[in-house]
Amino acid sequence: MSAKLPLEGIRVLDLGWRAVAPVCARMLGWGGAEVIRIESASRHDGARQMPPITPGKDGSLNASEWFNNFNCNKMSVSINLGHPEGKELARRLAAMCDVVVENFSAGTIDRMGLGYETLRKRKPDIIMVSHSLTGLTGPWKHVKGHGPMAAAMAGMNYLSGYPDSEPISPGQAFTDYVVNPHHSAFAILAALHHRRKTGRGQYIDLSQYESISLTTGSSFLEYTTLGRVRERTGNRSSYAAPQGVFPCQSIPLDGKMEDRWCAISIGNDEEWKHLCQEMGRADLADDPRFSTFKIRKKNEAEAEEIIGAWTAGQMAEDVFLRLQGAGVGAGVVQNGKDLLTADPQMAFSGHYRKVQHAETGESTYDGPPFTLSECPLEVRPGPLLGEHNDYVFQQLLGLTEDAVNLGYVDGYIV
Amino acid sequence: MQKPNDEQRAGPLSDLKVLDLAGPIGVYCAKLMADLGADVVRIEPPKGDSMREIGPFFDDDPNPEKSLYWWHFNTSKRGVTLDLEHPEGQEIFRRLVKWADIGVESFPPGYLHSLGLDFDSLHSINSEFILTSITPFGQTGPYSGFNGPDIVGQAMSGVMQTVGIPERPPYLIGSEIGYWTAATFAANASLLALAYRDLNGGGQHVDTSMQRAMSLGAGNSMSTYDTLGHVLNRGELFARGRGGVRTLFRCKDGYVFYIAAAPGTSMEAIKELLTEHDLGEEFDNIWLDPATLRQEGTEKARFETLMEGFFLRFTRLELLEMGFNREHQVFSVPVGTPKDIVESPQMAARGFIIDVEHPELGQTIRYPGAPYRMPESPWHLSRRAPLIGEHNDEVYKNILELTGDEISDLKGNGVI
Repeated sequence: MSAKLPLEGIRVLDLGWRAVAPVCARMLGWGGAEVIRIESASRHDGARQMPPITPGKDGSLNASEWFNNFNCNKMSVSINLGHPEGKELARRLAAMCDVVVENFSAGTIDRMGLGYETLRKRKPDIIMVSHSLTGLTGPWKHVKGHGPMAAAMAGMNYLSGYPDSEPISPGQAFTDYVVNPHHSAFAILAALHHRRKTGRGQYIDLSQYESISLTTGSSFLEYTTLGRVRERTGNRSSYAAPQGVFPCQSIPLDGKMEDRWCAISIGNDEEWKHLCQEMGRADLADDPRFSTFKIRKKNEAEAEEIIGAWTAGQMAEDVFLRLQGAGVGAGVVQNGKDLLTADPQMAFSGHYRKVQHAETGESTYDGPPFTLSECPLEVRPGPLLGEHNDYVFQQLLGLTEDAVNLGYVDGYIV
Repeated sequence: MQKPNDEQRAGPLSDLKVLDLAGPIGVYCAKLMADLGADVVRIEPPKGDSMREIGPFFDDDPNPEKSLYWWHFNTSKRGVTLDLEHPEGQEIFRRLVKWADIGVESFPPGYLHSLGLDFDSLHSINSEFILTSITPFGQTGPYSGFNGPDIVGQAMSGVMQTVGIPERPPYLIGSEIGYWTAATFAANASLLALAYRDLNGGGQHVDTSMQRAMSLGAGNSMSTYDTLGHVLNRGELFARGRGGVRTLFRCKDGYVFYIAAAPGTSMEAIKELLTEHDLGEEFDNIWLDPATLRQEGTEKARFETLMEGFFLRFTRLELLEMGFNREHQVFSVPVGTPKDIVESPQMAARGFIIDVEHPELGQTIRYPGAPYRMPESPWHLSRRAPLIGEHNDEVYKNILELTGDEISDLKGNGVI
């Protein structure tokens, strides 16, 4: 029972808003770090009102399940960073932290008086990361905006969508939820390792533009070595064919019919044979139009048509289980309901965690998407705004009750 | 491995030793470690890794040493060949495990067990060893034996459901983002296991699932169902618009991504910019309240038509400059192609694009650089991806202290 969580004893100051920095800090919180968010009621994080909001709680700053899920395991302290005394409290708090994360536009944190050079004077081994849109230096450093803009700039959109149609943006802010915060969390974990060896902290500059461009695989080298600009290919792959999503039987949902799809990917000739058998079309296995990868790639549209005619009218789940039973790569295009209520693998893994939250009641959050055999990681509810003021002001910063009250009166504690 | 020179500080993971056995689903994991200084030994079967068959190829020559996919994902690693299915190969692997801190693998669950190389066996050899497994669905559970290429991860995670337009099927995000995501979370988890080891001692088994990892990219899909009983689908999300207003417009030389009415933006700014280009008369002041643009209808259509005409007059870089070099900024950025990224002035100024020597070709190749700048312990691409068996002698002699004769025997038996 004496074993410690991986980041036990590490304290993180989360100055982030919306997604990137808070999601990065969530990884550290999952790992056992004590994460403290600075927020204020006067200028609160808009994420506290992002949907979904628990029914009947509109107007509350504590009932966004978007916010609570992305800020699980954290504490919240309400400090007005626009006030000189508020800034000073934040600097004192930062001096007690090991890691600081922020995602304001480049240079903003310095103007707020909370920049790395300022903070490290009080805590020389502090580790800080800034997540700006295009980086802290360079001719475009003043270009600011949202994660989806960086995704568009960095090639993600250009390579997504149908070849005969315009580029399309990911439906969710994928780079804010996955790409950038987990590049930066990895960098912080590495920086913490470096600090354990050397005692030295550092400042990490993450450009969302650069970071996302590293998700475009070998398209970069394709251009620099072959001079070719990779184009989007819909759901196809350069080394599996056919590959796509195929229409299945629609199902009633929310009073209308919801279209259903099953993804199928044929990685080799053996899988093609198995697919043909399952379709009751063993004759196609050695058909000269489809017998090898090269020739299937050439006749992919024709193969897709045959598969689509077979899947249509079947339940997506039946197609998926039947093909997987035959060793063929297949998967239902699942929705949030499927994942939460129907998928036996997600249930088995214990990925989703139930928590009890003071305003939203029982809620479901994401857990870390991995299992560590020696240390189960906890998920605790997202913090109410200012929920941990007493802990932070009195226990950590050692303020007297009078001093805290003065903060409320003067408006730097809000 | 190329030793960092005096000017070059060591990466933060320079004391780590890693064995990399992962396929496409996990190959980015050890790249993240290698580029931060870890000594990563990439282990391939004697005939070469099947990843080397993935194109495109340098010179369009389908040669296993010229796969750009292999090149991209195996930078800064050393490479050895080893037949894990051969008893002598298994013995060599066990000796490498004694040396290593972390192993990264993506075999179907149960495969390593069939070779006597499962976590428990390896743990009994080196109790500090961390084994990071990356699979489509995890090591255990009803789907653990399933076949999971990238598209299956994107589908089963709930991400694909959110991507696309109602008139067309759901579609994939970019370039194998399911694999990328699984590998990146596995890298995070590995460093958590390392931190745990530093605190408590002892290695462990890290079990990463692509489905679970990708499910985080479905954003609020799960919580929207949990909270409101509502299923989000691609029709109501952001394929074409944000804040209810269209984001994608054609311009003179491609596409521009423009956020009109999202937090932090102002309709005053676009009015100002249009006025500077003699389109002020066309701007209807009722649009200053972006709520008028958030629903389908005449106002939205009128505004979008005006913007279409405006954007077509300029190039992407002109729009970027005119949008941001002003007090009230207009959020219009280029929809970048791979070419644009390589040629981007911002990337160039920051030195993102780096030259990497390929001595076997007698030339240098331009690669993408660091995902993060951390000058105290910098990211560094120390070498191009290894050739097949390039470091056999170096690794087997220096790490395992095999003699030249022993190495020759292993080669003779087809083990390496």
